[in-house]
Amino acid sequence: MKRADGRGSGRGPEDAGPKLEMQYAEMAALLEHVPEGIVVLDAEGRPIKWNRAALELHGLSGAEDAGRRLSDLINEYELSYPDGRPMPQAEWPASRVLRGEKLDQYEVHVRCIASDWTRVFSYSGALINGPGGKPLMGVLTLRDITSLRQAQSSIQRDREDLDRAQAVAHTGSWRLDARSGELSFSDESYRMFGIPVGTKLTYESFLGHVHPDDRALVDGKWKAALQGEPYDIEHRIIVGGRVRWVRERAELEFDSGGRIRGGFGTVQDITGRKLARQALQAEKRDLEERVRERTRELEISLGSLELEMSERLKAEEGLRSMTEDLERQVLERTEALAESEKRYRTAFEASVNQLLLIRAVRDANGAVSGWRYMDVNENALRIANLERDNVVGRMAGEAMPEIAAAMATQWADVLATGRHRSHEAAFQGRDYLISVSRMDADTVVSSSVDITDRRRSEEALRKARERNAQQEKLAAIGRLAGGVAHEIRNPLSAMKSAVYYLKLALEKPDPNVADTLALLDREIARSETVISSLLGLAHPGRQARADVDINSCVREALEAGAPADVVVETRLDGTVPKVRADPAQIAVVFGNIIRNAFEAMPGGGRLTVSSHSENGSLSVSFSDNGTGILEEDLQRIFEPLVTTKDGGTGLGLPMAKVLVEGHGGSIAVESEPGKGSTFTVKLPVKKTSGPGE
Amino acid sequence: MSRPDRVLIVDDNLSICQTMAMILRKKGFEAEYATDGPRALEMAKASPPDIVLLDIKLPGMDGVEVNRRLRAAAPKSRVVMITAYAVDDKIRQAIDDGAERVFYKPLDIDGLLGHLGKCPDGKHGAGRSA
Repeated sequence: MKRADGRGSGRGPEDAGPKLEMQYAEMAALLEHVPEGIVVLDAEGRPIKWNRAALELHGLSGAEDAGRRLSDLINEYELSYPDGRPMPQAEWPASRVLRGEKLDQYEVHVRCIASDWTRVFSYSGALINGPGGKPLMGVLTLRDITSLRQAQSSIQRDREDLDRAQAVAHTGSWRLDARSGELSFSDESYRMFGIPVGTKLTYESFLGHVHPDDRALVDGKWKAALQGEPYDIEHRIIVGGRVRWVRERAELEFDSGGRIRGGFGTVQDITGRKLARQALQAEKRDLEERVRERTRELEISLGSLELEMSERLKAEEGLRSMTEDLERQVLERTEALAESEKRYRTAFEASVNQLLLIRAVRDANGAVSGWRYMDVNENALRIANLERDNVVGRMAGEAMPEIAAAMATQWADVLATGRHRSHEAAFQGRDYLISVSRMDADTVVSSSVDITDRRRSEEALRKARERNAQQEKLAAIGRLAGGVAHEIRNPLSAMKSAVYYLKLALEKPDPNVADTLALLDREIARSETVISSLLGLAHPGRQARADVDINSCVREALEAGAPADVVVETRLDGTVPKVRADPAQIAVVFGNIIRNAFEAMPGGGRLTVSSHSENGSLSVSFSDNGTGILEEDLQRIFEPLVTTKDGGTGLGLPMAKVLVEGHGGSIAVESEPGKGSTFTVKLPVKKTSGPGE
Repeated sequence: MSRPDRVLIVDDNLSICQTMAMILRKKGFEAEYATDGPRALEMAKASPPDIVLLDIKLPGMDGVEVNRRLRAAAPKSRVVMITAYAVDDKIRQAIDDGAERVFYKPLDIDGLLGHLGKCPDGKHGAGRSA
């Protein structure tokens, strides 16, 4: 306790008289036992009395301290307001009391500098005036409220914590005292209700803040709660003219007698949640409405949609059938393609031609630097006597070098010009017709066919035609001969008869007449021969075939005799088989050839006749060393009516040829002008079977 | 001495008829001739010849037909066919109908006279030359 300055020190208690002294003694004893500290000061501020509690509170001890003046204490204590501001000495409790102020629980924080403790004291006191209004003494009582203040401060912190927690949780609390009807709100509750913190409230004033529409509900629930029902409701309140939602829960407290003492409850601001839910519901309703509207719209459009759908279905059906059609076509085309490929392959392989697909290999400049076989058919492989793997995909120079060497120029030409080219070429002793075509910018197709047989048959055909033409010629001659023969034979016959008669009639004719008659006879005979030959050529007549010994035929033909200056030599092979032939016709053949030979040797010579057989045929050769036949005449020697001799009929050799060929044989001639000719007759040797006719 | 054989020559070539007739007469035959079939048949009916030299090709009726009719008109006459053609079918037909043989023109006169001089029934030789 700070003492007032020395101004307050004054007279002692002894100045009051004996009665007063007694009272003072009793009072002093009394003061010593009072739990509150009491300090009595004189008007000048000198302490008259410290009771024990006051001394203890100030940390003083004994009588020596009790007498100390207020001014002595001023350097030992620091006083301050509850808010921490330093308290000037004029405001110290003693100073204020001595100035005549009345103190009531004046809270002062006192720090003892020496002991470094701080205590909170609550001072009360007043100046007591003596008779006549003269200040007599000041009395101060003090209590240590340090613990109280610390507790209060702790409670305050708890409250603040609670308050903060409630604020954070948007949850307030309240307490209702049933007996007083007083309702206390937590700060958060005040804030929630929009009521200034600390405003006195009652249940009724609380109801006043509830939304008018919810008051009956809240009151009803509260009444029911008082009867033991649980109290947990949501309702609206009006805050500053605006509606907010709260949720209230309460627990009621009862005394031991079962009487209600009050209630404790919480109130939670659920406006946000409520609004959110309402918004949600509104949104939901809105959504539902929109769904309904949309549904209606959909139902409306569904009709048109169904219509459209059926049309679309029709269209889709059309599309599907079109697609199926297309797929079928694709399938068919694919099959056709496969079939085509198969056909191509079949045709490619079945071709009697040798087919080659050759592709140009180009260098960096695009110039053809080589050729590669892309495909080759079996026929080509067979001719080349190669395996497919050794050809297809190989360079032409490696696989079939001789073909590449022969053909590359032509391939390049066809590839460059696009013009189809074909030519004939020989390969391994056979003739081929080779055609080359361009397939695409890099590929040529070579197709070759073996024309050897065709050529041979063409040659045979040509010969047959020639022969045919010759036979036609012969037939024409035959018809002509037949036609004139009668007319000529008749006059000839008459002439012959006439000559015969003249010879009969002229018994001794003049030699000249006789010669003339003989001449007539010879010429008539010669005419007969010509006519007979012509007729024989035109109508060889039926063959009377028999197994004929050709050597005998030769000898018989030679028996007719040779000119005196001609030597006849025979070299006949006695082992030659017999042939099926008409001996009369063979005799004509041999006779004609022999006569021809004799006539070719006007100055004499040698005729060599030889026979031999080989390879199923029999040959008879007639060689003379006569004049020979000129090259140009050799071609026509077997044609009728062609003769180089003065006396020739031009029918002998054609007749021989016709008859030999009638036997399936052939006749050939070799000749060298000035050296002679050789005629060779070949006849087929057959087994002697079948009717000889 | 029996009478000479009478020969009828039938040919449309008059030269042949005349020359052959002269030759036959020289050789002791009686000879006459006709240049067509109907005339020949007429003469054969009137006086059947011993021998008929009959040409196959005749205008109108050919020698084969004449030969056939001669079988009725002069059954005892010998018939020798003559022809300038190798008309085999007709020759065969004529021989089937009784002709003795055929001679081809130009006639081998000695051969023909030799044949005519033979006597098929051995009765007599032909007319002999003087």
